[in-house]
Amino acid sequence: MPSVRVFDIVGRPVLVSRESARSIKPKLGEGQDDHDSLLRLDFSGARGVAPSFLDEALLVAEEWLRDSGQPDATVTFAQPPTVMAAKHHAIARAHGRTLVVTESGDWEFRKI
Amino acid sequence: MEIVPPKNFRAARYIKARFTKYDPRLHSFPEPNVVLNLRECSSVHPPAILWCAVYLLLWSKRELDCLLLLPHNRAAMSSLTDLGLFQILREANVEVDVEPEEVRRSVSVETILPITRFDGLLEADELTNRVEDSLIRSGLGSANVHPIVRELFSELVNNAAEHSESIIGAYGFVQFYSSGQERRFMCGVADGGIGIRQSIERNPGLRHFGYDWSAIELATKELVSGTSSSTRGIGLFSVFDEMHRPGRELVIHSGNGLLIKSEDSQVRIVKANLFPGTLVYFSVPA
Repeated sequence: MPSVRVFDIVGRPVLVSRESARSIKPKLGEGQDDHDSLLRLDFSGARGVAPSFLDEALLVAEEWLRDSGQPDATVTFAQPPTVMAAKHHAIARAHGRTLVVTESGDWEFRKI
Repeated sequence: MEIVPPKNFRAARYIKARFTKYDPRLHSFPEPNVVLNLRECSSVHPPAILWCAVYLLLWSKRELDCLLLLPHNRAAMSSLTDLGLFQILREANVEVDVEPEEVRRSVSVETILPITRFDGLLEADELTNRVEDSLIRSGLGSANVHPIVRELFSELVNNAAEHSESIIGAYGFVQFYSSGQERRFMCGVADGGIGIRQSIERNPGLRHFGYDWSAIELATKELVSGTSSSTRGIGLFSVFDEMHRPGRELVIHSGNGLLIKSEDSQVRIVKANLFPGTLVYFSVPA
């Protein structure tokens, strides 16, 4: 599955603001096959991420999925550089999604 | 007007009400000059120092003559020096009565980030990454506490940069305190902006909200924000949620509202003296 390396785009070890999360949008879908039903953001290389950044990254991913005609597709955050907490489930709920941790530790935001 | 804080100056809420009745954010401030007199203070704590900074900078922005009288007490002077108060006052051309002497720094406090101005989301990004670098370089505290400090701080600078509308920008600091068995990170972010109540009243569904203290309480709930976006309102909720563990302390002072979550997890939300903007201070065991 193709993925977007967030750290390479933002260029800072700690991902903080909504504004910087917006900068990943032009890179979404690069190398993505039309038949892929998942969108994967790879956070490897980052040392930390603020909840606001995660929320905006999810929003940006959903905008891209909507434009691609697959609004219900799952969004995966690979290797998130933070410990899962109530706030992350709150983010998922606000987007009408549920947050599931895979065996490899990735976070899947699945449409409810 | 001369403002004389208490000797043990812990925070704005301990100043006598008559000293905070005028709001320095308003053009109608009736005094031509203001003196902040710390002469008799034997200790000045970080939230109080942030208050001093915000008040003096707001006065200065209003082009009032303002003067800071420094404490005689060496420990109190060390606190002001450690946190970098004089540097930001100098940058804003605020007058200090005498040039501060070289003061021996406190042995119990290491400053990770002195009070530093930021304005806008880009600078909030940069500041958080600077804190991250300084935390790693310092080697202070448990490494597993660093992410907590970083995430809490990042949400607070995000909030201030995005919502405060402060004419003086916003200011943040991070310190490490160590005495005997106690080791803590202490962090604060403050601005001279519109405050939490006015900010959440920007949300069309929350107009004419009422009191500052009720607005603070509401702002700590999930998905309450000053925007009409249904996904916003994570920032203060996540900070409040994270601080519910024992040993962590949180203070949110905005306008006349004050929320205190003490180290034993008790939460008090009360009416308080004016803070002309918003101050959030937290400390976590390191």
